[in-house]
Amino acid sequence: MNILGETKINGVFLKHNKSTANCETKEMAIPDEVEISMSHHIGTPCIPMVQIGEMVYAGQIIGESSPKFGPPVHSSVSGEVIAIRNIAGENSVMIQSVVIKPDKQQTLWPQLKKPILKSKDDFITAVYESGLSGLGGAGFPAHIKLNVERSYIKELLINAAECEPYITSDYREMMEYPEDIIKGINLVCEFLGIEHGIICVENNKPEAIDMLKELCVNEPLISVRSLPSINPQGAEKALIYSVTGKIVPEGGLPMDIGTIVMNVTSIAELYRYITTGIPLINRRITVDGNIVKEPGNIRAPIGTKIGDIIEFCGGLTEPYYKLLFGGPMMGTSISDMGAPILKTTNAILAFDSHIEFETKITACIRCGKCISVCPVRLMPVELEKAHDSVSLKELGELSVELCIECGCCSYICPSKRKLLLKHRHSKQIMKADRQTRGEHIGTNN
Amino acid sequence: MEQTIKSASPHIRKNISTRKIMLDVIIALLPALIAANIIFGIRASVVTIICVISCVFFEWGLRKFFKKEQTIGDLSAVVTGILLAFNLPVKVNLVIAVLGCFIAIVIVKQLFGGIGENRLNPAATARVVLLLTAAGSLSVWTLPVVRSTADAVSGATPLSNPTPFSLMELFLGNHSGSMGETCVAALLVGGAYLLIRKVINMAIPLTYIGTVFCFAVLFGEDPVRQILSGGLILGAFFMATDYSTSPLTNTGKIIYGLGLGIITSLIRFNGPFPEGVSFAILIMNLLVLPIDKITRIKPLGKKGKAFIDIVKPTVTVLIILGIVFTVSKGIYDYVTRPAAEKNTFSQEAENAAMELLGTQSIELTSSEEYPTAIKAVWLSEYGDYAFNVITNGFGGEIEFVIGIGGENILGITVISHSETAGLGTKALDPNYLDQFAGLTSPDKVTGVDAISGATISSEAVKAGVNAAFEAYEQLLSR
Repeated sequence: MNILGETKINGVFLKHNKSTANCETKEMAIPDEVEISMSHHIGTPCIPMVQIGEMVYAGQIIGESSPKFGPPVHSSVSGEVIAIRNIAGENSVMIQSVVIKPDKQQTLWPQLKKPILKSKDDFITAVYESGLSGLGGAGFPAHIKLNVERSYIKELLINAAECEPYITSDYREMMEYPEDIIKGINLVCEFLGIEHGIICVENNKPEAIDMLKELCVNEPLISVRSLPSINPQGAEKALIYSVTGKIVPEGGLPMDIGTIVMNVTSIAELYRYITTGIPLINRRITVDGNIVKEPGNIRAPIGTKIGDIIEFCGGLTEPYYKLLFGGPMMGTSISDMGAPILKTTNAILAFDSHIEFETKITACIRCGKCISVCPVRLMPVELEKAHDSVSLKELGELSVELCIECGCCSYICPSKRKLLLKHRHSKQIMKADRQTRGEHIGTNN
Repeated sequence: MEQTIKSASPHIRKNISTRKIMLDVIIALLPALIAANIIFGIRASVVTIICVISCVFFEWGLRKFFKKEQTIGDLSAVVTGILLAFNLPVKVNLVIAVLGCFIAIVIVKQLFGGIGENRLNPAATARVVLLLTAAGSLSVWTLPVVRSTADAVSGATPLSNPTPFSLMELFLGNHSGSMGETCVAALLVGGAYLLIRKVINMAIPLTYIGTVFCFAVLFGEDPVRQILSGGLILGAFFMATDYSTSPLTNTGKIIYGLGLGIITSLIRFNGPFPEGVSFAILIMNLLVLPIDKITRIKPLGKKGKAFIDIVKPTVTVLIILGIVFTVSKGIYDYVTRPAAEKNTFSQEAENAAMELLGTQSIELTSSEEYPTAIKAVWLSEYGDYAFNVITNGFGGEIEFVIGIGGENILGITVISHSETAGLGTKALDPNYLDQFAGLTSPDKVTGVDAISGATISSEAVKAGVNAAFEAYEQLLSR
C-alpha cells in the first residue's frame, strides 16, 4: 500500500483494443420490434404487469418484482404488446419477456414526472422508480445499494475503470456528459451524507482523466484517481481494495466497510432521471470486434435485438465465429442474433476465428501463474484439484465462493485448462449443498 | 457452412503454452552447452544429443505402450535430457547416460503420471541413482581441454581438490566437473534470460544461493568460492526451479530455497560427499507437499487466521536471524584473522637467498604491500633483492626463493613442493628453472614454455616469478 492507501491488485495486462474510443454516440432509430426481459438484475425477476394487445407508452412500468427487490422494468418504446414469452428458467424461477411492436412515436407515459426530493427516503424511492440497476454489467439494484444510513458511508467510488478490452461505453459517458456525472455524484453524496466521491479511471484514458480533473477543481467533495490499466481493475472488490486498501469481508457487501461503488454511467443516468423524470429506457452500447463494418457507440432502446444493432452498424463482414454480450473476459457468448439487449449490456462484440489460438488442453504443470494473477488471492490450481475430487471441504477451505469470475486464471494458464468453468461449477455445488443443509450465508452472486 | 462457437468466458487466452515455456528453458541452457563444448570438447554435444534423444524416445515409447496421449511435443523431455547430460562428466559411459535417461523419464516422471504429476526432479534423481550405483563411471573427472594434454589426465574438481582455482577460473568454468555445471558465466546468462522471460522468479535462486553463502561464512569457508563451485548455480537456476517439483507460492519457494541451502551446506561442509546439490534437491522435493499446505495464501476477505499468518513472519524472522549471524561471524572472522604470515620464512629459505645473492650480508625488508605470493624480501649489500615466494601448484604449494638484481633474474631455488614425481617435478628441475636466469621482464617470463605433462606446475612457477617481478618493480619505484 502506498501513502494514498492505493494497493496494487493482481491481474492480467490485456491489449486495450479501444478502437471505438473516439466514436461519438450515435442514436439508433427505433427498431421494428423490441423484447424486454423481466430480469435485468440479480435476484428474483419481475412479473409482467401488462397483457398481450395492450398499448403501452415509453417509460411505462411493464414489470414489477414481488417482493420489491429488483427495480421495475419500463417499456423503452410506445407501441403494442404482441407477446409475452418465457425465455429462461432455473429451478422454479421463470424469466419472462414482453415483446412490443413500436409505433415509432415514442409517446412518453403521462404519469412520468420529475421526482420531488425532500428527504433521503424520497431519494431512495426516486432511485427505485428510475429502474436503475448497475449499468456496469453486474446489475445490482441501485435503490438497495444506496439505501444506507446517512453519514454511514465514508466514500463513494465511481467506477470508470472499464478494464475490458474493446468497450468504450463508459469512456464516452465521461467525454460526452461529464457534468451529469459530477452533478450525479453531488446528488448522491448530499442525500447520503458521504464526504468523499472518488472517480476511478484507468490510466489508458488520459483525456477523460484530465477533463474530469479540470471540472473537479471547484468540487470539494470529488476527486479523480488514476489507476493502472490491469484487468480486472473495474471489479468491485478489486477496485475498493486498490483505491482504499479496504477488503470486503467474505459474504459481505461494500457497504459493510463503509464504501459504495457505482458505475459512472449509472450515476449520470440517475442524475438525468432526477432532472427529467424519464426512467432508464435506453443505453449506450459499444459495438466492435474485428468483423463489424462500422464499429462505434450506439444508443439503443432496451430490448433491441442484437441483429438490429449490428445492422445499424453496417452489418458483419463475414459470418461470426464468436458473438459476445459484454467484454472478452467476462462477457457471455451468444448464438442468436435475435437476443435482446438488457439494461446491463454494455457491448456487443463479434469476432472471427483469429480470436482464439490453440484450445488443446494439456496437463497442469504447476507453474503457479494462475495464483499470481488472481485478484482475490485464490489458488486456482488447488481449486481445480478440489473440484475434480469433489471435495466440498477443500473447496470451502480454499474459499471458492470468493471467486469473482474475472477469468484471469483461465486466461493465463499455459495448459489452457478450463479453470473458471470449474470454479463456477464448484460455487454451484457449494450453494446447492448449503441449501440442502438449510444454511444461508450471503454471497456476492 | 458457418462455424460459430458458443463458449464460456473468458473468451480470450494469453498466447503461451507449456511448449513455449520449455523452449525458453532450452534457449537458456544453450550458452552453457556452448561453454561445455569449448571447455570439454565436442563430446559434450554428443552426450547431450544422446541424452535428449533417449529421453524423448523413452517418453514416446512409454506413452505409446500405455496408449496415452503423446506429450513429447511439450519439449519437457528435451529439457530433462539436457539437464541430465549437464549433470554428468563428459567422459561418461554412454550406456550409463542412457540408463540415466530411462530412470529420469520412465521411472521418475512417467510412472508417476507424466508432467505435473511427478514429485521428484527427474534429472536430479537419475543423477543421484547413478552416483550411488555406478560411481566409478561417474567420477572420471576430465580436465578441461584447454588444460589437458593429448591423453586427458584426470583432475579433481574444485570441491574435492584442496588446491584452490582462481575465482576467474571458477567463474569461467575452466576446470573439471560435470559438463554443464562449471561455466558459471554461461549459466548466469541463461538464468537472466529465464528471469526476463518470467519463466522463473528470484525466490528460489536467491534464497538457495544466499543460504549457501551464509553457511559458508558460518563454517569458515570462502563464501564466494563456494557459490561458484560445484553444481550450485546450475541447480539453483535450472533444477530447483522446476515447476512440478517446487512449491506454488513465493513463501513456499523461499522455505524451499532455505532448505536446499541448509542441506547442500551441511553435506558440503559436514558430510562425506564433496557436493550436495543433487541430494538436497531430492530431499526437498519430498517436502514440497507439506510446504504447499502450510504456505497457502490467504484469500482476500477470508475470515479467520490461516497457517500463512504464522509461517510468513516466522520465515522472515529466521532469515533476518540468519543474516545477522552470518554478518557477525563474518566480521568476527575478519577482525580475528591471523596476522599476515609475512616474515615467517624458514632458515632454508634465508640460506637460499644468501646463496642466490652471493653474499651473507642481507637484511630483511618490510613487506606489507607486496603481492600475497611473497612471504619475505631480503636486500643484499649489492642492492639486489631475493624473494621468498609461495605459489599454488598442481599437488599443493610450491615454495621457492628467487633472486632479482639489476632487472635480471639471478636464479631460482626450490624450497618445498608437493608436485607429482616424474611429471610436475620436471617444472622444478634445475634444467627448467635455469631458463629463467637472465630474463629481464614479465613478458619474457610468460614466454618461457610450459613443460608438457607439467602444465600446471610450470604455470605456477611462472606465476610466482611474475609476482616477484611485480614486487621488485614496486621496490625500485620507491
